[in-house]
Amino acid sequence: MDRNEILNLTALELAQRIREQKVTSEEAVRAVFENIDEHEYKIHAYLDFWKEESLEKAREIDEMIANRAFQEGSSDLPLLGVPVAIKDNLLLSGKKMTCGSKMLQDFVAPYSATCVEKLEKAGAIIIGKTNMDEFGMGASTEHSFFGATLNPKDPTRVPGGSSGGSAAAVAYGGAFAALGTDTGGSIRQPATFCGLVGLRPTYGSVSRHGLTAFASSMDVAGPITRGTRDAAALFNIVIGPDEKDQTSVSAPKVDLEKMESYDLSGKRIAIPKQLISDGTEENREAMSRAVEFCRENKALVEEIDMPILDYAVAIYYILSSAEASADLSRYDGIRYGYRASGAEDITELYRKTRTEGFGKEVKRRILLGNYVLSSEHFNDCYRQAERARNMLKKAFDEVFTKYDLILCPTAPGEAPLLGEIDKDPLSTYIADLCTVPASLAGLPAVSLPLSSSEKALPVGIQFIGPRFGEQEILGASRFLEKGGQK
Amino acid sequence: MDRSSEKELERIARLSGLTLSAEEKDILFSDLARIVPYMERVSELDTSGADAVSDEISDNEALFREDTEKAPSLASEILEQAPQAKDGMFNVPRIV
Repeated sequence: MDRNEILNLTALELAQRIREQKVTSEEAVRAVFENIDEHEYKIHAYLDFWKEESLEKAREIDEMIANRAFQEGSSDLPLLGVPVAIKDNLLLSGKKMTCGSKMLQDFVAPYSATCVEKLEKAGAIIIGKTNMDEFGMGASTEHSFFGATLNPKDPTRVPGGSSGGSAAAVAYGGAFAALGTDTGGSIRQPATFCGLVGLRPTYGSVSRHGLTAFASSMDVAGPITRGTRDAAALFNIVIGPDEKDQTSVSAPKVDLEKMESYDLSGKRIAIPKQLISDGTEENREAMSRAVEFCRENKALVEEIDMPILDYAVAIYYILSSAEASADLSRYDGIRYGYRASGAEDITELYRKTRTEGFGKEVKRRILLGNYVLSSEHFNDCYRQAERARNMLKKAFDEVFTKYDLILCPTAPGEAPLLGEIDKDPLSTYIADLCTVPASLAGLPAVSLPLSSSEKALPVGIQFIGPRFGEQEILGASRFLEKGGQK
Repeated sequence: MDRSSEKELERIARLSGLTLSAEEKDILFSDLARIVPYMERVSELDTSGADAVSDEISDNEALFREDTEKAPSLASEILEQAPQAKDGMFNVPRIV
Protein backbone atom coordinates (compact mmCIF):
# COMPACT_ATOMS: atom_id res chain seq x y z
CA MET A 1 0.00 0.00 0.00
CA ASP A 2 1.31 3.47 -0.75
CA ARG A 3 1.38 6.28 1.75
CA ASN A 4 -1.89 7.87 0.63
CA GLU A 5 -3.73 4.57 0.68
CA ILE A 6 -2.50 3.97 4.22
CA LEU A 7 -3.42 7.45 5.38
CA ASN A 8 -6.94 7.14 4.01
CA LEU A 9 -7.70 4.19 6.28
CA THR A 10 -9.60 4.53 9.53
CA ALA A 11 -7.90 3.32 12.71
CA LEU A 12 -9.88 0.05 12.69
CA GLU A 13 -9.20 -0.56 8.99
CA LEU A 14 -5.50 0.01 9.56
CA ALA A 15 -5.43 -2.38 12.52
CA GLN A 16 -7.09 -5.04 10.37
CA ARG A 17 -4.63 -4.54 7.47
CA ILE A 18 -1.69 -4.69 9.88
CA ARG A 19 -3.01 -7.93 11.34
CA GLU A 20 -3.50 -9.36 7.85
CA GLN A 21 0.06 -8.27 7.02
CA LYS A 22 -1.15 -6.19 4.08
CA VAL A 23 0.66 -3.25 5.60
CA THR A 24 3.15 -3.09 8.45
CA SER A 25 2.81 -0.98 11.54
CA GLU A 26 6.21 0.49 10.68
CA GLU A 27 4.88 1.68 7.31
CA ALA A 28 1.91 3.27 9.05
CA VAL A 29 4.11 5.04 11.61
CA ARG A 30 6.42 6.24 8.83
CA ALA A 31 3.47 7.55 6.81
CA VAL A 32 2.20 9.49 9.81
CA PHE A 33 5.62 11.00 10.53
CA GLU A 34 6.09 11.99 6.88
CA ASN A 35 2.83 13.89 7.25
CA ILE A 36 4.01 15.42 10.50
CA ASP A 37 7.23 16.57 8.75
CA GLU A 38 5.14 18.12 6.02
CA HIS A 39 2.42 19.86 8.05
CA GLU A 40 3.51 20.27 11.62
CA TYR A 41 5.63 23.42 11.14
CA LYS A 42 2.57 25.33 9.99
CA ILE A 43 -0.26 23.61 11.92
CA HIS A 44 1.46 23.02 15.30
CA ALA A 45 -0.84 20.25 16.48
CA TYR A 46 1.80 18.57 18.63
CA LEU A 47 3.69 19.71 21.70
CA ASP A 48 5.89 16.61 21.66
CA PHE A 49 6.34 13.46 19.57
CA TRP A 50 8.87 10.62 19.44
CA LYS A 51 9.55 9.14 16.02
CA GLU A 52 12.35 6.65 16.70
CA GLU A 53 10.68 5.20 19.77
CA SER A 54 7.39 4.83 17.84
CA LEU A 55 9.15 3.11 14.94
CA GLU A 56 10.88 0.78 17.37
CA LYS A 57 7.53 -0.22 18.90
CA ALA A 58 6.03 -0.67 15.44
CA ARG A 59 8.85 -3.02 14.40
CA GLU A 60 8.35 -5.09 17.56
CA ILE A 61 4.64 -5.41 16.77
CA ASP A 62 5.35 -6.32 13.12
CA GLU A 63 7.76 -8.99 14.25
CA MET A 64 5.26 -10.45 16.69
CA ILE A 65 2.61 -10.54 13.96
CA ALA A 66 5.04 -12.21 11.55
CA ASN A 67 5.82 -14.81 14.23
CA ARG A 68 2.11 -15.35 14.80
CA ALA A 69 2.56 -14.32 18.42
CA PHE A 70 -0.98 -12.92 18.32
CA GLN A 71 -4.03 -15.07 17.95
CA GLU A 72 -5.77 -14.77 14.58
CA GLY A 73 -9.07 -12.94 14.83
CA SER A 74 -8.51 -12.09 18.46
CA SER A 75 -10.30 -8.96 19.55
CA ASP A 76 -7.96 -8.31 22.48
CA LEU A 77 -5.80 -5.86 20.58
CA PRO A 78 -8.21 -3.83 18.47
CA LEU A 79 -5.68 -1.08 17.74
CA LEU A 80 -2.60 -3.25 17.28
CA GLY A 81 0.12 -1.18 15.61
CA VAL A 82 -2.04 1.93 15.08
CA PRO A 83 -0.35 5.34 15.67
CA VAL A 84 -2.46 7.42 18.05
CA ALA A 85 -2.02 10.84 19.71
CA ILE A 86 -3.12 11.99 23.17
CA LYS A 87 -3.93 15.42 24.52
CA ASP A 88 -1.24 16.94 26.70
CA ASN A 89 -3.34 16.92 29.87
CA LEU A 90 -3.17 13.11 30.01
CA LEU A 91 -0.23 11.47 31.75
CA LEU A 92 2.06 9.10 29.87
CA SER A 93 4.77 7.73 32.13
CA GLY A 94 8.21 9.19 31.45
CA LYS A 95 6.95 11.84 29.01
CA LYS A 96 6.42 15.53 29.58
CA MET A 97 2.91 16.71 30.34
CA THR A 98 2.44 20.47 30.14
CA CYS A 99 -1.33 21.06 29.89
CA GLY A 100 -0.34 23.86 27.52
CA SER A 101 0.91 25.83 30.51
CA LYS A 102 4.14 27.46 31.59
CA MET A 103 3.26 26.10 35.03
CA LEU A 104 4.00 22.54 33.89
CA GLN A 105 6.44 23.11 31.03
CA ASP A 106 9.11 20.83 32.56
CA PHE A 107 6.83 18.35 34.30
CA VAL A 108 7.52 14.68 33.53
CA ALA A 109 4.74 12.18 34.25
CA PRO A 110 5.65 9.67 36.98
CA TYR A 111 2.85 7.31 35.86
CA SER A 112 0.31 6.90 33.06
CA ALA A 113 -3.36 7.83 33.04
CA THR A 114 -5.64 4.79 33.21
CA CYS A 115 -7.23 5.57 29.83
CA VAL A 116 -3.77 5.94 28.25
CA GLU A 117 -2.63 2.62 29.74
CA LYS A 118 -5.75 1.01 28.29
CA LEU A 119 -4.99 2.40 24.83
CA GLU A 120 -1.47 0.97 25.00
CA LYS A 121 -2.82 -2.39 26.18
CA ALA A 122 -5.12 -2.38 23.13
CA GLY A 123 -2.00 -2.28 20.96
CA ALA A 124 -2.02 1.41 20.03
CA ILE A 125 1.32 3.18 19.58
CA ILE A 126 1.17 6.56 21.28
CA ILE A 127 3.31 8.78 19.12
CA GLY A 128 2.92 12.20 20.73
CA LYS A 129 1.14 14.73 22.91
CA THR A 130 -1.12 17.34 21.38
CA ASN A 131 -1.54 21.06 21.95
CA MET A 132 -4.44 22.48 23.96
CA ASP A 133 -5.79 25.61 25.60
CA GLU A 134 -4.03 26.02 28.93
CA PHE A 135 -5.53 23.49 31.39
CA GLY A 136 -8.42 22.98 28.96
CA MET A 137 -9.75 26.50 29.37
CA GLY A 138 -10.63 27.84 25.96
CA ALA A 139 -12.37 27.01 22.73
CA SER A 140 -9.68 27.76 20.14
CA THR A 141 -6.30 26.32 21.29
CA GLU A 142 -5.03 29.90 21.10
CA HIS A 143 -4.69 29.95 24.89
CA SER A 144 -1.71 27.57 24.86
CA PHE A 145 1.51 28.90 26.40
CA PHE A 146 3.32 27.21 23.49
CA GLY A 147 1.45 29.02 20.70
CA ALA A 148 -1.75 28.40 18.77
CA THR A 149 -2.69 25.39 16.62
CA LEU A 150 -4.15 26.19 13.20
CA ASN A 151 -7.05 24.44 11.50
CA PRO A 152 -5.78 22.07 8.76
CA LYS A 153 -9.03 22.62 6.80
CA ASP A 154 -8.27 26.35 6.65
CA PRO A 155 -5.12 27.64 8.38
CA THR A 156 -6.57 31.14 8.78
CA ARG A 157 -8.99 29.62 11.28
CA VAL A 158 -8.79 28.05 14.72
CA PRO A 159 -9.17 24.27 15.09
CA GLY A 160 -11.47 24.77 18.07
CA GLY A 161 -10.58 23.79 21.59
CA SER A 162 -9.53 22.93 24.03
CA SER A 163 -8.55 19.61 22.33
CA GLY A 164 -7.59 21.53 19.16
CA GLY A 165 -4.22 19.80 18.81
CA SER A 166 -5.80 16.33 18.90
CA ALA A 167 -8.37 17.32 16.29
CA ALA A 168 -5.83 19.02 14.01
CA ALA A 169 -3.42 16.06 14.21
CA VAL A 170 -6.10 13.57 13.14
CA ALA A 171 -7.43 15.96 10.48
CA TYR A 172 -4.09 16.35 8.66
CA GLY A 173 -3.16 12.69 8.98
CA GLY A 174 -0.68 13.16 11.81
CA ALA A 175 -2.41 10.34 13.74
CA PHE A 176 -5.13 7.80 13.00
CA ALA A 177 -7.11 8.77 16.09
CA ALA A 178 -6.61 10.79 19.24
CA LEU A 179 -7.80 11.12 22.78
CA GLY A 180 -9.11 14.49 23.86
CA THR A 181 -10.85 15.58 27.02
CA ASP A 182 -14.19 17.32 27.30
CA THR A 183 -15.31 19.50 30.20
CA GLY A 184 -17.75 21.84 28.44
CA GLY A 185 -17.35 20.74 24.82
CA SER A 186 -13.59 20.40 24.33
CA ILE A 187 -13.86 17.16 22.32
CA ARG A 188 -17.03 17.84 20.34
CA GLN A 189 -16.38 21.40 19.19
CA PRO A 190 -12.82 20.92 17.80
CA ALA A 191 -13.84 17.60 16.20
CA THR A 192 -16.59 19.46 14.39
CA PHE A 193 -14.36 22.34 13.27
CA CYS A 194 -11.82 19.88 11.87
CA GLY A 195 -14.40 17.66 10.13
CA LEU A 196 -14.13 14.71 12.54
CA VAL A 197 -16.25 12.67 14.92
CA GLY A 198 -15.94 13.52 18.62
CA LEU A 199 -17.45 11.53 21.48
CA ARG A 200 -17.98 12.82 24.99
CA PRO A 201 -18.65 9.61 26.96
CA THR A 202 -21.08 9.40 29.90
CA TYR A 203 -19.45 11.00 32.95
CA GLY A 204 -17.85 8.27 35.05
CA SER A 205 -17.54 5.70 32.26
CA VAL A 206 -13.87 6.64 31.66
CA SER A 207 -11.50 6.88 34.64
CA ARG A 208 -10.14 10.37 35.31
CA HIS A 209 -7.01 8.98 36.97
CA GLY A 210 -4.11 10.73 35.25
CA LEU A 211 -6.33 13.32 33.55
CA THR A 212 -5.26 16.71 34.89
CA ALA A 213 -8.27 18.23 36.62
CA PHE A 214 -9.96 21.38 35.35
CA ALA A 215 -13.53 20.88 36.66
CA SER A 216 -13.67 17.44 38.25
CA SER A 217 -17.45 16.98 38.13
CA MET A 218 -17.45 17.35 34.35
CA ASP A 219 -14.00 16.31 33.02
CA VAL A 220 -14.05 13.21 30.83
CA ALA A 221 -11.64 11.76 28.26
CA GLY A 222 -12.89 10.51 24.89
CA PRO A 223 -12.02 9.91 21.25
CA ILE A 224 -11.60 12.22 18.26
CA THR A 225 -11.66 10.07 15.14
CA ARG A 226 -12.29 9.99 11.38
CA GLY A 227 -15.51 8.09 11.79
CA THR A 228 -18.11 6.72 14.17
CA ARG A 229 -16.77 3.13 14.13
CA ASP A 230 -13.37 4.31 15.34
CA ALA A 231 -15.03 6.43 18.04
CA ALA A 232 -16.96 3.38 19.25
CA ALA A 233 -13.81 1.22 19.22
CA LEU A 234 -11.81 3.74 21.26
CA PHE A 235 -14.72 4.19 23.66
CA ASN A 236 -14.84 0.42 24.24
CA ILE A 237 -11.11 0.44 24.98
CA VAL A 238 -10.96 3.32 27.48
CA ILE A 239 -14.09 2.68 29.56
CA GLY A 240 -14.30 0.77 32.81
CA PRO A 241 -14.29 1.24 36.58
CA ASP A 242 -10.97 2.11 38.21
CA GLU A 243 -10.18 2.01 41.90
CA LYS A 244 -8.05 5.13 41.39
CA ASP A 245 -11.10 7.20 40.41
CA GLN A 246 -14.01 6.90 42.80
CA THR A 247 -16.43 8.45 40.30
CA SER A 248 -15.68 5.77 37.70
CA VAL A 249 -18.31 3.14 37.07
CA SER A 250 -18.91 0.13 34.88
CA ALA A 251 -20.42 1.14 31.52
CA PRO A 252 -21.76 -1.09 28.77
CA LYS A 253 -19.62 -1.49 25.66
CA VAL A 254 -20.93 -0.49 22.25
CA ASP A 255 -21.73 -3.48 20.05
CA LEU A 256 -20.26 -2.52 16.66
CA GLU A 257 -22.39 -5.00 14.73
CA LYS A 258 -25.56 -3.68 16.31
CA MET A 259 -24.33 -0.18 15.56
CA GLU A 260 -24.08 -1.10 11.85
CA SER A 261 -27.65 -2.38 11.74
CA TYR A 262 -29.08 0.61 13.64
CA ASP A 263 -32.14 2.08 11.99
CA LEU A 264 -33.67 5.49 12.71
CA SER A 265 -37.11 4.22 11.73
CA GLY A 266 -39.52 4.69 14.63
CA LYS A 267 -36.98 6.58 16.75
CA ARG A 268 -38.23 9.62 18.65
CA ILE A 269 -35.91 12.60 18.38
CA ALA A 270 -36.24 15.85 20.33
CA ILE A 271 -34.78 19.20 19.31
CA PRO A 272 -34.70 21.69 22.20
CA LYS A 273 -35.74 25.00 20.69
CA GLN A 274 -33.36 26.87 23.03
CA LEU A 275 -30.41 25.27 21.20
CA ILE A 276 -31.38 26.26 17.67
CA SER A 277 -32.33 29.92 18.06
CA ASP A 278 -28.86 31.29 17.24
CA GLY A 279 -26.42 30.17 14.62
CA THR A 280 -25.24 30.89 11.12
CA GLU A 281 -27.09 30.07 7.94
CA GLU A 282 -24.74 27.13 7.24
CA ASN A 283 -25.60 25.78 10.64
CA ARG A 284 -29.33 26.10 10.20
CA GLU A 285 -29.01 24.51 6.80
CA ALA A 286 -27.03 21.57 8.24
CA MET A 287 -29.60 21.10 10.98
CA SER A 288 -32.52 21.15 8.57
CA ARG A 289 -30.77 18.62 6.33
CA ALA A 290 -30.24 16.36 9.35
CA VAL A 291 -33.88 16.73 10.39
CA GLU A 292 -35.08 16.03 6.86
CA PHE A 293 -32.87 12.95 6.70
CA CYS A 294 -34.23 11.65 10.02
CA ARG A 295 -37.81 12.19 8.88
CA GLU A 296 -37.19 10.54 5.48
CA ASN A 297 -35.96 7.56 7.44
CA LYS A 298 -39.18 7.46 9.42
CA ALA A 299 -37.98 8.99 12.68
CA LEU A 300 -40.33 11.21 14.62
CA VAL A 301 -38.64 14.60 15.05
CA GLU A 302 -40.20 17.18 17.36
CA GLU A 303 -39.18 20.56 18.68
CA ILE A 304 -39.39 20.74 22.48
CA ASP A 305 -39.19 23.50 25.06
CA MET A 306 -36.51 23.26 27.79
CA PRO A 307 -36.52 26.71 29.42
CA ILE A 308 -33.74 25.78 31.87
CA LEU A 309 -31.32 25.64 28.90
CA ASP A 310 -31.44 29.45 28.74
CA TYR A 311 -29.38 29.32 31.92
CA ALA A 312 -27.02 26.48 30.93
CA VAL A 313 -24.03 28.67 30.03
CA ALA A 314 -24.32 30.68 33.26
CA ILE A 315 -24.62 27.51 35.34
CA TYR A 316 -21.67 25.95 33.54
CA TYR A 317 -19.34 28.93 33.95
CA ILE A 318 -20.21 29.35 37.63
CA LEU A 319 -19.62 25.68 38.45
CA SER A 320 -16.66 25.00 36.16
CA SER A 321 -14.85 28.17 37.30
CA ALA A 322 -15.53 27.37 40.95
CA GLU A 323 -14.15 23.87 40.48
CA ALA A 324 -11.18 25.22 38.48
CA SER A 325 -10.26 27.65 41.25
CA ALA A 326 -10.14 24.71 43.66
CA ASP A 327 -8.57 22.18 41.26
CA LEU A 328 -5.81 24.62 40.31
CA SER A 329 -5.00 25.65 43.88
CA ARG A 330 -2.48 22.79 43.88
CA TYR A 331 -0.12 24.81 41.67
CA ASP A 332 1.86 26.62 44.34
CA GLY A 333 5.48 26.03 43.36
CA ILE A 334 6.10 23.56 46.18
CA ARG A 335 5.48 20.01 45.02
CA TYR A 336 5.83 20.12 41.24
CA GLY A 337 5.76 22.44 38.29
CA TYR A 338 7.07 25.97 37.98
CA ARG A 339 8.54 27.77 41.00
CA ALA A 340 9.17 31.54 40.81
CA SER A 341 12.55 32.74 41.98
CA GLY A 342 13.31 35.56 44.38
CA ALA A 343 10.44 35.06 46.83
CA GLU A 344 11.25 36.07 50.40
CA ASP A 345 8.59 34.03 52.18
CA ILE A 346 6.13 31.25 51.45
CA THR A 347 3.11 33.49 50.70
CA GLU A 348 5.13 35.49 48.22
CA LEU A 349 6.37 32.25 46.69
CA TYR A 350 2.80 31.04 46.10
CA ARG A 351 1.71 34.36 44.67
CA LYS A 352 4.73 34.92 42.40
CA THR A 353 4.60 31.32 41.13
CA ARG A 354 0.92 31.52 40.24
CA THR A 355 1.15 35.03 38.80
CA GLU A 356 4.07 34.08 36.55
CA GLY A 357 2.94 30.51 35.79
CA PHE A 358 -0.69 30.95 34.71
CA GLY A 359 -1.91 32.61 31.51
CA LYS A 360 -4.65 35.19 31.07
CA GLU A 361 -7.66 32.89 30.54
CA VAL A 362 -6.73 30.65 33.49
CA LYS A 363 -6.44 33.70 35.75
CA ARG A 364 -9.83 34.93 34.53
CA ARG A 365 -11.47 31.60 35.42
CA ILE A 366 -9.76 31.37 38.83
CA LEU A 367 -10.93 34.88 39.70
CA LEU A 368 -14.44 34.12 38.51
CA GLY A 369 -14.41 30.88 40.51
CA ASN A 370 -13.24 32.51 43.72
CA TYR A 371 -15.77 35.29 43.19
CA VAL A 372 -18.72 32.88 43.07
CA LEU A 373 -17.33 30.91 46.01
CA SER A 374 -16.70 33.95 48.21
CA SER A 375 -19.05 34.18 51.21
CA GLU A 376 -21.02 37.14 49.78
CA HIS A 377 -21.90 35.31 46.56
CA PHE A 378 -21.84 31.66 47.63
CA ASN A 379 -25.59 31.28 48.11
CA ASP A 380 -26.78 33.45 45.21
CA CYS A 381 -24.29 32.12 42.70
CA TYR A 382 -22.64 28.84 43.54
CA ARG A 383 -25.39 27.08 45.49
CA GLN A 384 -28.03 28.44 43.17
CA ALA A 385 -26.11 27.10 40.17
CA GLU A 386 -25.76 23.71 41.84
CA ARG A 387 -29.51 23.51 42.34
CA ALA A 388 -30.11 24.70 38.80
CA ARG A 389 -27.77 21.99 37.56
CA ASN A 390 -29.95 19.38 39.24
CA MET A 391 -33.04 20.94 37.67
CA LEU A 392 -31.32 20.69 34.29
CA LYS A 393 -30.46 17.02 34.91
CA LYS A 394 -34.07 16.29 35.80
CA ALA A 395 -35.30 18.14 32.73
CA PHE A 396 -33.13 15.84 30.57
CA ASP A 397 -34.37 12.74 32.45
CA GLU A 398 -37.90 13.83 31.68
CA VAL A 399 -37.12 14.30 27.98
CA PHE A 400 -35.61 10.82 27.77
CA THR A 401 -38.80 9.24 29.10
CA LYS A 402 -40.45 10.36 25.87
CA TYR A 403 -37.58 10.48 23.36
CA ASP A 404 -34.66 8.25 22.35
CA LEU A 405 -32.31 11.01 21.27
CA ILE A 406 -31.73 14.75 21.35
CA LEU A 407 -30.47 16.38 18.19
CA CYS A 408 -28.85 19.84 18.14
CA PRO A 409 -25.97 21.73 16.55
CA THR A 410 -22.48 21.41 18.10
CA ALA A 411 -21.44 25.05 17.71
CA PRO A 412 -23.15 28.19 16.43
CA GLY A 413 -21.23 28.08 13.14
CA GLU A 414 -18.02 27.09 11.39
CA ALA A 415 -14.54 27.53 12.90
CA PRO A 416 -13.83 31.21 13.75
CA LEU A 417 -10.88 33.10 12.29
CA LEU A 418 -7.68 33.22 14.33
CA GLY A 419 -7.72 36.03 16.89
CA GLU A 420 -11.47 36.50 16.63
CA ILE A 421 -12.38 34.62 19.79
CA ASP A 422 -10.16 36.50 22.21
CA LYS A 423 -11.82 39.83 21.52
CA ASP A 424 -14.90 39.07 23.55
CA PRO A 425 -14.70 36.38 26.25
CA LEU A 426 -18.40 36.55 27.15
CA SER A 427 -19.52 35.85 23.56
CA THR A 428 -17.06 32.96 23.43
CA TYR A 429 -18.58 31.50 26.59
CA ILE A 430 -22.09 31.91 25.15
CA ALA A 431 -20.98 30.03 22.02
CA ASP A 432 -20.69 26.93 24.24
CA LEU A 433 -24.49 26.85 24.60
CA CYS A 434 -24.94 23.62 22.63
CA THR A 435 -22.14 21.65 24.29
CA VAL A 436 -22.42 22.55 28.01
CA PRO A 437 -25.88 21.00 28.68
CA ALA A 438 -24.64 17.41 28.19
CA SER A 439 -21.57 18.24 30.32
CA LEU A 440 -23.67 19.53 33.20
CA ALA A 441 -26.00 16.54 33.07
CA GLY A 442 -23.19 13.98 32.66
CA LEU A 443 -24.74 12.69 29.42
CA PRO A 444 -23.00 11.14 26.43
CA ALA A 445 -22.91 13.20 23.25
CA VAL A 446 -21.39 12.61 19.84
CA SER A 447 -20.72 15.31 17.28
CA LEU A 448 -20.38 14.58 13.61
CA PRO A 449 -19.45 16.93 10.80
CA LEU A 450 -21.72 17.94 7.97
CA SER A 451 -20.75 20.19 5.12
CA SER A 452 -22.73 21.34 2.16
CA SER A 453 -19.91 21.01 -0.39
CA GLU A 454 -16.30 19.89 -0.72
CA LYS A 455 -15.07 23.44 -0.27
CA ALA A 456 -17.29 24.47 2.62
CA LEU A 457 -15.97 24.27 6.16
CA PRO A 458 -17.60 21.59 8.26
CA VAL A 459 -20.34 22.44 10.72
CA GLY A 460 -21.44 19.93 13.27
CA ILE A 461 -24.53 18.30 14.60
CA GLN A 462 -24.74 16.46 17.86
CA PHE A 463 -26.71 13.54 19.23
CA ILE A 464 -27.19 13.53 23.01
CA GLY A 465 -28.43 10.39 24.75
CA PRO A 466 -29.39 9.28 28.25
CA ARG A 467 -26.63 8.15 30.64
CA PHE A 468 -24.84 5.11 29.14
CA GLY A 469 -26.70 5.69 25.88
CA GLU A 470 -23.57 5.43 23.74
CA GLN A 471 -25.00 2.53 21.73
CA GLU A 472 -27.97 4.68 20.76
CA ILE A 473 -26.13 7.90 19.91
CA LEU A 474 -23.32 6.16 18.04
CA GLY A 475 -25.86 4.04 16.17
CA ALA A 476 -27.68 7.18 15.04
CA SER A 477 -24.39 8.84 14.16
CA ARG A 478 -23.28 5.82 12.10
CA PHE A 479 -26.65 5.71 10.34
CA LEU A 480 -26.29 9.35 9.32
CA GLU A 481 -22.65 8.84 8.34
CA LYS A 482 -23.61 6.01 5.98
CA GLY A 483 -26.41 8.13 4.54
CA GLY A 484 -29.09 5.74 5.73
CA GLN A 485 -29.66 2.02 5.79
CA LYS A 486 -27.82 0.20 3.02
CA MET B 1 -19.73 43.54 39.82
CA ASP B 2 -19.69 47.29 39.29
CA ARG B 3 -16.89 49.85 39.08
CA SER B 4 -17.15 50.56 42.79
CA SER B 5 -16.16 46.99 43.50
CA GLU B 6 -12.69 47.29 42.04
CA LYS B 7 -11.46 46.71 45.56
CA GLU B 8 -13.35 43.43 45.51
CA LEU B 9 -11.39 42.30 42.45
CA GLU B 10 -8.20 43.03 44.34
CA ARG B 11 -9.44 41.04 47.31
CA ILE B 12 -10.47 38.07 45.11
CA ALA B 13 -7.07 38.21 43.40
CA ARG B 14 -5.37 38.11 46.79
CA LEU B 15 -7.51 35.13 47.83
CA SER B 16 -6.61 33.45 44.52
CA GLY B 17 -2.90 33.86 45.18
CA LEU B 18 -2.49 36.16 42.18
CA THR B 19 -0.97 39.60 41.78
CA LEU B 20 -2.49 41.61 38.94
CA SER B 21 -0.62 44.29 37.03
CA ALA B 22 -2.44 47.59 36.40
CA GLU B 23 -3.01 46.53 32.79
CA GLU B 24 -4.31 43.07 33.77
CA LYS B 25 -6.59 44.67 36.33
CA ASP B 26 -8.11 46.90 33.66
CA ILE B 27 -8.71 44.08 31.20
CA LEU B 28 -9.98 41.58 33.75
CA PHE B 29 -12.17 44.17 35.36
CA SER B 30 -13.92 45.08 32.13
CA ASP B 31 -14.26 41.36 31.20
CA LEU B 32 -15.67 40.40 34.57
CA ALA B 33 -17.96 43.42 34.63
CA ARG B 34 -19.73 41.82 31.65
CA ILE B 35 -19.35 38.16 32.60
CA VAL B 36 -20.48 38.35 36.23
CA PRO B 37 -23.93 39.90 35.58
CA TYR B 38 -24.49 37.23 32.92
CA MET B 39 -23.66 34.49 35.46
CA GLU B 40 -25.76 36.13 38.14
CA ARG B 41 -28.86 35.58 36.01
CA VAL B 42 -29.12 32.19 37.71
CA SER B 43 -30.49 34.01 40.76
CA GLU B 44 -33.70 34.66 38.72
CA LEU B 45 -34.45 30.93 38.72
CA ASP B 46 -36.90 29.45 41.19
CA THR B 47 -34.86 26.56 42.57
CA SER B 48 -36.88 26.11 45.74
CA GLY B 49 -37.75 22.48 44.96
CA ALA B 50 -34.26 21.45 43.86
CA ASP B 51 -31.38 20.06 45.87
CA ALA B 52 -27.81 21.17 45.42
CA VAL B 53 -25.26 18.41 44.74
CA SER B 54 -23.59 19.15 48.06
CA ASP B 55 -26.96 18.61 49.86
CA GLU B 56 -27.15 15.14 48.38
CA ILE B 57 -23.60 14.35 49.40
CA SER B 58 -24.19 15.35 53.01
CA ASP B 59 -27.38 13.26 53.06
CA ASN B 60 -25.57 10.16 51.93
CA GLU B 61 -23.68 7.85 54.21
CA ALA B 62 -19.92 7.95 53.87
CA LEU B 63 -18.50 5.29 51.56
CA PHE B 64 -15.82 3.03 52.92
CA ARG B 65 -13.32 0.75 51.23
CA GLU B 66 -11.33 -2.14 52.57
CA ASP B 67 -8.12 -1.12 54.31
CA THR B 68 -5.80 -3.24 52.22
CA GLU B 69 -2.09 -3.03 51.59
CA LYS B 70 -1.16 -1.39 48.30
CA ALA B 71 1.88 -1.53 46.02
CA PRO B 72 4.76 0.78 46.98
CA SER B 73 4.13 4.48 46.39
CA LEU B 74 5.81 6.61 43.77
CA ALA B 75 7.33 8.87 46.42
CA SER B 76 10.80 9.07 44.88
CA GLU B 77 9.51 9.62 41.32
CA ILE B 78 7.18 12.31 42.60
CA LEU B 79 9.93 14.03 44.57
CA GLU B 80 11.99 14.12 41.38
CA GLN B 81 9.40 16.51 39.98
CA ALA B 82 9.70 18.92 42.90
CA PRO B 83 11.29 22.30 42.11
CA GLN B 84 13.50 21.74 45.18
CA ALA B 85 13.78 18.63 47.32
CA LYS B 86 16.23 17.58 50.00
CA ASP B 87 16.59 14.39 52.06
CA GLY B 88 13.35 12.93 50.71
CA MET B 89 11.37 16.08 51.51
CA PHE B 90 10.08 19.14 49.66
CA ASN B 91 12.28 22.16 50.20
CA VAL B 92 10.35 25.38 50.95
CA PRO B 93 11.26 28.89 52.08
CA ARG B 94 11.31 29.54 55.80
CA ILE B 95 7.77 29.62 57.22
CA VAL B 96 8.30 30.71 60.84
